Amino acid sequence: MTPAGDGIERAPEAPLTLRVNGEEHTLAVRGHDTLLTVIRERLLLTGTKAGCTNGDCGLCTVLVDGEAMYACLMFAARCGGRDITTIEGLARGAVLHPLQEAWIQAGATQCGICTPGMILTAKAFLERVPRPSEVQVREAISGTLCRCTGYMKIIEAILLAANSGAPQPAPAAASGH
Amino acid sequence: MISPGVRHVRPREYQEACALLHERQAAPIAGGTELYLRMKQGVATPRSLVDLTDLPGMRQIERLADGTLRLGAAVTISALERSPLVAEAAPVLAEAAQRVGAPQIRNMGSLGGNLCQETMCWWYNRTALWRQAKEPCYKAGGSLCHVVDQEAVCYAAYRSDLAPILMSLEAELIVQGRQGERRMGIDELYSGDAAFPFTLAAGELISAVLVRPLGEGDVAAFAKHAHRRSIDYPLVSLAVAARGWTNGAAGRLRIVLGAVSGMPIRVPEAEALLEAAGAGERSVAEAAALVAKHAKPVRNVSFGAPAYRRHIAKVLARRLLGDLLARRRASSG
Amino acid sequence: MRAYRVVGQRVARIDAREKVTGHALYADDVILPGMLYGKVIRSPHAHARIVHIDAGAALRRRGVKAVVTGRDFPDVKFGFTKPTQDRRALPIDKVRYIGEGVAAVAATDKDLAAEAADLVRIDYEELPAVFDPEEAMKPGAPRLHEHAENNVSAICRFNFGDIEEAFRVADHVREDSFSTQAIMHGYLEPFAIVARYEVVTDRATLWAAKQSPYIIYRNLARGLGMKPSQLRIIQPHVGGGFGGKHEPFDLDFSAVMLSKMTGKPVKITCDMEEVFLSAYRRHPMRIRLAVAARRDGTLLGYRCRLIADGGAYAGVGHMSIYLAGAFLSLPFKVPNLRYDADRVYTNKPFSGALRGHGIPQMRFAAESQLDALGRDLGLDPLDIRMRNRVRQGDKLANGFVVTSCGLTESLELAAEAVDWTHTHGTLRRRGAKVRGIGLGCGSLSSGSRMGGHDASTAVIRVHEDGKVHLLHGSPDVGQGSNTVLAQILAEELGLTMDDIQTTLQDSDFLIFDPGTYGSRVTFTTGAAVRTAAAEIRRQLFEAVSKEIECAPGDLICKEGRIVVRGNEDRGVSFLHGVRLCYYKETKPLMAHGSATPAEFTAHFGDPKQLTSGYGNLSGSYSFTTQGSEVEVDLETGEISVLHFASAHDCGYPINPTLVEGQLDGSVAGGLGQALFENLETVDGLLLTPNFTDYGLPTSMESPQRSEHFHIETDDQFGPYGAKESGEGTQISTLPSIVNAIYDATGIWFRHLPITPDKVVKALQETYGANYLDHPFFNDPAARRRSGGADGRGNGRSRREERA
Repeated sequence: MTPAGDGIERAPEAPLTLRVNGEEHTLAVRGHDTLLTVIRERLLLTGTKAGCTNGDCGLCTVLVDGEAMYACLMFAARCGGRDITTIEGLARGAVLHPLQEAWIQAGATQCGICTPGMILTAKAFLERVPRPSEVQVREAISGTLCRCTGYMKIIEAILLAANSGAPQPAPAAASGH
Repeated sequence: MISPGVRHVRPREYQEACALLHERQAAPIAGGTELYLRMKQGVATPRSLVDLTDLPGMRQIERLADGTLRLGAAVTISALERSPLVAEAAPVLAEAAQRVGAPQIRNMGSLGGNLCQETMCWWYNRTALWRQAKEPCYKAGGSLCHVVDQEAVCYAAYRSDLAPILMSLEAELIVQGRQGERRMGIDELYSGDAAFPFTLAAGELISAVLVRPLGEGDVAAFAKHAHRRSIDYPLVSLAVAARGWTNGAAGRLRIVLGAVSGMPIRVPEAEALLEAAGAGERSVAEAAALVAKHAKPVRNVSFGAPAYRRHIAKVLARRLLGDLLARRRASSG
Repeated sequence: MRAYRVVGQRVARIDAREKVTGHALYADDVILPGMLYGKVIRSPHAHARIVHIDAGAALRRRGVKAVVTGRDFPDVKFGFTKPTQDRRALPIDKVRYIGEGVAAVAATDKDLAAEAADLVRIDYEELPAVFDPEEAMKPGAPRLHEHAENNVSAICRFNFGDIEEAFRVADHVREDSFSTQAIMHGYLEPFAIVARYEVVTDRATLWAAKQSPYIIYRNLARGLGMKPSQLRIIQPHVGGGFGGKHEPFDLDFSAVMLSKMTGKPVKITCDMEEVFLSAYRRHPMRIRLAVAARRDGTLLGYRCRLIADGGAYAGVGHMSIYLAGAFLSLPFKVPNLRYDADRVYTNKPFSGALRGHGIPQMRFAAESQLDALGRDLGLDPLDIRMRNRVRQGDKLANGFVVTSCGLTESLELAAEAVDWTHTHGTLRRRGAKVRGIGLGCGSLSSGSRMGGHDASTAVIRVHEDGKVHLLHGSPDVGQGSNTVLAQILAEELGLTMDDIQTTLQDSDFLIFDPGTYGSRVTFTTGAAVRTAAAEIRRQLFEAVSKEIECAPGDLICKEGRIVVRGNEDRGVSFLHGVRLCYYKETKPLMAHGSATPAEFTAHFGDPKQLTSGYGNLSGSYSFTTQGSEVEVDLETGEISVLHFASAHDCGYPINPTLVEGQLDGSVAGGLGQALFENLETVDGLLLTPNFTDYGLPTSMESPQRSEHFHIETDDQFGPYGAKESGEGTQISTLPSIVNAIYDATGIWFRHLPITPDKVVKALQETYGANYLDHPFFNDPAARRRSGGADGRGNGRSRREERA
């Protein structure tokens, strides 16, 4: 391929530097590779899940420069220089992120396939809106589907994380009899 | 599946971008959310993707000296949602932005991409495997329509969430071409042919959208009706903007219907009816009926029975226009 | 109050940390050295003869390693029961639906595989196709399978009591028609498998997204011409099942065969569109239901005719129509039942099990008809339910035996939660929005006897360091059963959750287990864990009794110690006990335990039994009442679910948080079917092949408020008194919502889904163009009088046309 202008040009196997979870990776990507493909199949970070790969389900959500995005709809070649956070980037060793703790306490994970994308969405959201209302939480996660939970305990987990800063025991009384 | 060998170019100057776009099988990309899917489905097959996001002013939201709100075409939908400048000049635009797709889509997708999204039909926007099961339709380069095969016309729907409100606000577009820059009304963007919905020539791109701010006495509203409250494209949307509405002047109204045709549809008869001084409840009902009459949806999307979408057009019109009229009355009373 | 320390507690899921950190491994996450990627080639025709397959061009591409077709497999068919063995690994004669896998390729990367798939030339000769089950039953209709005359793949003919007499003596009779749509399970993880065939051992190892590996692989082995022992199944985490990951599919057979042909591991992951086009779905059912009742609301009999759209293959469809009929009565006691059901082949993806399996369709019909009956007779729907409810000890007309039952309490709690007495039948309108409440009941079996080997087995090994390891054969597909089983084990051994480990299934280490379906895991596998734990205790107590000189029978496990009952200072730590076993007794501390369905349950793997329908299905039944409140926008027809109250008798909630997760998930699925989801097909072509066009609810559609009530009935057969809790509540969701809409609008919707366009149309047809001004929405008294437009002036017999 020859450059058609003097702009940035990436031939199909051009090397690209991706910053993922603070670590730089230089690798050759093909023009049609999505960020999801590169994260899962090249960097082997399989915590990011592939669901519909069609922008319909949100499983592949990652943070790009702090914003939640569908990795399945992004060309990797366009992500050079951007800061990417995947679920693997949240915990520090065995110390979990408060949202991860809240997820566990609220029982917000069942099959777990939506969990990474949901947690990342919630992280970006709480950083922007630290004390959200329930309605705001619902809107914030409305781009990721979940069939297991009916979203109820996911909403609970996000509110729990927001209200505690550091997570507290789950408010089980709300629904127990 | 996307065929390998797509290349990405990221020009820094408009002339260069336009030259690149003028080449065969080149497509502009900003957010890419909609283009990517069409590529995956095999209904778009660009060989080179011209990234517009580094072009001057493309990602800027600003107020020009005359107060005009200038929105760079690569501004993301969520930037529109959150921009204090938008909130100040045209809060209705932020409201409409908030109803686009899903949060993640809004973080990725751009204003220009939203305006230039292809028309859709449930017989068309599908993968190659699916399309093998049916003869290709007009939009897929064939010679029939699976929805209405009486005239040689494509009935795909244009489902942009932002176009109706921008059209009602009489927004203008800055279009860059190889011969330089031109300015046109947003209504001039549409060809009316759902198979080839846009008038932009090869090598042209939208660089900005200009919106005259809503001033004192101006009122605007937007309503979107979709199957679900998130992710979905609209089944019907309606935008109304009235300038000089509540300050005692005659007022000028724009009513624009979305998602029920190959382009946004203005309803001048309904506008005239309500612009008339002394318009009352009865005229709202009449205007709403006119709006519904202009909606000509066909059975081309899920959960979008045509009679129902016409009905919704009427309901949205009644709600928005009724409110508009009430505000005028309140201001004069 | 029982004093359990781990059981009954809201402990965290045992796999939660793995899942929230992204470490949990799913099938598509498995990557093996040298792995090839496969792609299935699917039929674009609804019904066509496969004339010729030419893979030459594909195989000539560099990097393309193999192409597999139906001819590469042995000439055998497989299926749930003998009469329904109608599927092959890949078809050889013809295709029967759009999306059916015909061949598959393997190549060195995914893109190459996709390109190669396009290069495989398949010549078809199109055949006439049939898509409507009633059309398919007519003489002269295109026949899908040689063996099935009139395309009927399975039938049920139940006749219990004296139905003629019931209808003769009834004060009131009504007959209504219902239909339900096809829906997806909604698992978000698409089908995926990695297969590695090893020529030197002639065995294949599989990692696949499946929820009942053994049942599947029995069929898989058959289709491959291998013995089950030649397959090693390593269970990954599963991204949702809901009954949808039972059957082996084209990709599973193809991956193993391609691996055999190439000598390399092969991964095939389906695109979600492929799942939409080819996976099995919930049976669409057309139900005509006649009810005979006394003036006081006592139900005397049901006469039901059901036609189920089975799609192209039988699957477990005989079971599906059996279950629809089996729950014609339960949760109510109806002495006379007549049920005639046909499951019919059509040229669409086949229908099968989905959360609640066949029962939600029937209970939608029967339970919403109860509300109509109430309006006919001037009775409160709650009273009708109370009058006919089953109680502990009841034996039903079809042989079901109710061993424990919290239905009464659940009716009371759910009714109270929605303020039934003051609210039902009242006019609550604000602007264009009107509210209504509804009740729905449901019941489900806690596992059943399905044929073949039905026992669950647990294997417990205690490490030298005192940690206890549990292996069992029923995969956790997200519902949390591994956590519940670990809780049971911790409780039995007086330990905490931190002392328990589990590993996902591996068939080389386990005994055959039917797997995860029919809400059987806690009930059956839970019992197996208790048995195995008792054996561990026996071994421990024997060793410890020698050490501290007491009778083994005097020892108990408590709080990490093994102590003498009544003299708890006397004893040793659990770890010390373990060491005594290993070092003093020099015996490994391990045990296994098995559990089978209760002896008094009938054998429903037998087609004859499924057809005639008599027999007790399960050791116990769960009971639920759900109260819902909806708000209908009369102008737009949109329906919002404001409040959902589930009052659920699962015997005893071993983990209330997990049970609530099941309740919420069931409601989400039921709500989707009631209001949002539809697999819309035209001439066999699916027009909604993705989640967006299909309409899977988002967080914006889920109930604004969800309330749970746990009712403890302490079932005598379930572990710690526990019964089913995974699916039963999806049964009551449909009628609860339908009845709430009935209350709000006076319109009874009998055809699902209830989308806004149908609501507006029905309002216009029922109340006229200016329906907002109709007294029903303006005058509270008028509402009480009319009891809803649809319930008015019902004759003795009423038939309705299908919409």
